[in-house]
Amino acid sequence: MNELLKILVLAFAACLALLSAGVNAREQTVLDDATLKQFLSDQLGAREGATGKHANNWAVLVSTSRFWFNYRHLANALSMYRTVKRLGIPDSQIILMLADDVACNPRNAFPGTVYNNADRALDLYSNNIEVDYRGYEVTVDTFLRVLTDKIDRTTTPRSKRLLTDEHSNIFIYLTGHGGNEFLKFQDAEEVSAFDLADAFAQMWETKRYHEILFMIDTCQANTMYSKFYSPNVLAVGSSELDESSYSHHADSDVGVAVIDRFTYYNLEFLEKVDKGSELTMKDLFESYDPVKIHSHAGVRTDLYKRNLSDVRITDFFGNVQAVEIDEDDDDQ
Amino acid sequence: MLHPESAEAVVLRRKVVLSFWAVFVILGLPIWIHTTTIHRTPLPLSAVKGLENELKDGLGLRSDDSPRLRVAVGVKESCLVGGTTTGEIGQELDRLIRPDHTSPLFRLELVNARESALPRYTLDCITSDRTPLPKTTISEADEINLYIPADNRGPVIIANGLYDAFVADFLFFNKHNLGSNNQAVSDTAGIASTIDRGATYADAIHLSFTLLVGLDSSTSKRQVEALSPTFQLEWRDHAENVWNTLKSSELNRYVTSITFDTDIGLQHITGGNSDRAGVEQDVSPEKLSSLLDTWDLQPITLLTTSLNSSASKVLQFVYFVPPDSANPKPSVSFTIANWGGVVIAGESRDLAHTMRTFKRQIDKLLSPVSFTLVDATKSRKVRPSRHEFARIATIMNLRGAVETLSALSRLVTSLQEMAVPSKVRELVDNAVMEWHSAVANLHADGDYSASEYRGLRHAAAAAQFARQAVFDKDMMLNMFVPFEHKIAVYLPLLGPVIVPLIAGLRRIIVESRRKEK
Repeated sequence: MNELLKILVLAFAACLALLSAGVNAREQTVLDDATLKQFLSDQLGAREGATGKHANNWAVLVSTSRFWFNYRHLANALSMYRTVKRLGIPDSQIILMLADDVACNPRNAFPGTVYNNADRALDLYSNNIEVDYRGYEVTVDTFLRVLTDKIDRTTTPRSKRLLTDEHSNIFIYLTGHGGNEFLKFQDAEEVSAFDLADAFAQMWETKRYHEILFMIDTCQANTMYSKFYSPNVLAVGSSELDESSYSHHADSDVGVAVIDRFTYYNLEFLEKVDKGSELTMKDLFESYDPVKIHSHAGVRTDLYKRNLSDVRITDFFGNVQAVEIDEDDDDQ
Repeated sequence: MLHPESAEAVVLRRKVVLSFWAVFVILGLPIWIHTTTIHRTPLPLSAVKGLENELKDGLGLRSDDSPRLRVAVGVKESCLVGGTTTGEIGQELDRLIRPDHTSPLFRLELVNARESALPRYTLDCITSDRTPLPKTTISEADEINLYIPADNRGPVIIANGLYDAFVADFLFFNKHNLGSNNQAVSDTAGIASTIDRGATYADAIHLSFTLLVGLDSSTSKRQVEALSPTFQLEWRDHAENVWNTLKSSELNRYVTSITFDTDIGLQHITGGNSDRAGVEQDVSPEKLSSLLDTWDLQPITLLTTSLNSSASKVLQFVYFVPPDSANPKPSVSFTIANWGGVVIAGESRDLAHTMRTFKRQIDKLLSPVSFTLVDATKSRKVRPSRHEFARIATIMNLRGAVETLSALSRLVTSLQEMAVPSKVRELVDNAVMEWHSAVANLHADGDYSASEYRGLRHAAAAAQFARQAVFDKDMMLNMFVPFEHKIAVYLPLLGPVIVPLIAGLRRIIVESRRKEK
């Protein structure tokens, strides 16, 4: 018995030692500040035209939650969808991923509709939405494949692919349940901050973006962008480590919360934006009030070289085409 | 008190423990390692590096006898420290600019600074206390390539970046002797982007023409007639002349006609302004861009299967005829890179002009228009010949292939948890092989007599293989699993097995030691 006890104690001690060694090993792979700066500088220097203007806009909007009581997460994603469409990004340049279908849920007192406000003034699930990935199609694997375009081209239609290039600005919005450096998908699996960071690195190397605006509304959201190391990524999250993100309000007839606070206040700001607006990302970030949001929204700008006061909201939320007006030299 | 084990029981116990250990070590461990090791086929990274160097060195296409560039070099006073003379500086500079210097395209020859007609550069020095002479450096950021034909006549081309310089060199070196020393190409960065827009090979090109015309438009019949086979043929012929690789490219055109009963989107650009001249002055790229959002162009649905190929190029051309009742009717045409072109008919519906505009737009979108040479007195457009354009397109595709393969190398090296299937190795090998074939064809084609664009097809294949390799769907990164999760998974599985095995083995060892004593 004593022998067995000794062995158990030794095994437990070995596990603890391995555990701390493993955690330390992973932490050491994260780039320190000086190395990160040098790395970014090299990356930007290596890519010609990396500092030029973008030529098109894309959006990837993902709601990762299943079940009726996560109604608000789908409403979050659909609200962002409506906003980017209103500001000009066409459906062909939006990838919308909804992990569940609350509009047709038997519990929905208003079938075929999704509202983000208790006044029910706006139905987000109107007849003009295009959901690219729905239900069980929304997985970590699918999401990462969409970002990196490592997709079966023979079976996947173009409408479900992120056909970006080095001149594309991409707005990536994630909402759901999250924790310290992870985001839950479908109540079954997780994507970690490391996976996301490596996916962005692949996108950078394969020239799949010009700039990315990464926005995430989950608990401990700011931890999800802590591992990013690719250039030209502007990240914003709804809450700090060990902080939760909260819903804004519920609809008593729908029976559940219909929108989250961080998304709600973003939308409040974005409603003032139209296609020709000169409001900037700095204005957006300065509008975040921890008292209203009930959490501390964070912004990560060290990977992003432009001054936020020069970056228009429409650089990410709107759409721009590189229009060249023809000269009238009519030589035959 | 436990009964002592019989001798047979002890032997049996030892055999059981050792058998379990044998299964664990001989069978279990190898299976576990095999099923948890990330499969990474080694890639020919050194071969890829070799391609990068080859491209950087100009693919062996430059002349062995680089032109000697005569420049005047002024020396800053900061260089003249400790009694150093300009002569000594000059020697140091000449030592740096040796024939085997990495810059392949010119050699500096220092001349008397008083010859003011020559291009002039200033040498800046970084002084170090420990060196007897100031250390002279010409950093890569300061490198400016100048091209002058060997006989010092012809255009001086100023290009930044070795690649732009190479393309310009290929086009102009000893080819265009224009007789004036003062001519210069205005903007080679613009040239490179123009080439980029058009020169990448596509195995299928789809031109989709859409007529948008108001229901109450009196010219609607004429618009339909305008899209008669004659005009379609003219567009196609023009596109074929422009896109020189149509021997292997499939060109498809689709024509649709959409009528509508409101002036869709015109308000976007007129803003309600009834002054036509004011509107035309005021039309901005942003307004024109937003106009596209109001149109629901569906020709793409006709092309679903073809478009799944990433090597297809799709361009849309829209002729927008506002209703007769619309006021004003701005006349403007514009192109959008990688999208297509739009002509908005004004008051005068000159179809011939519209056709010519579409031709110019196809020109702009599928090939470089021209290189503009500018001097003090005039500017002149120089168009590359069909063959030259094909060679430029070959080089563009080779560059694309190398950049893609280099990106793959970096990813595979830095992301150790990324699986690399054997199929990727085959694709990379194919890409390298096609690359070398393309370069060999470029050399063989040097006398410009070949009519087959073999080099371009090989280069396109190289670029295509490279893209397939880097976007292979099986080359995915293994998900990050936190270490504590691994412990949580493995401990319940292995703990109940490992603990008795270790206990049993320990007992065997202790008993053996007691026996020895």
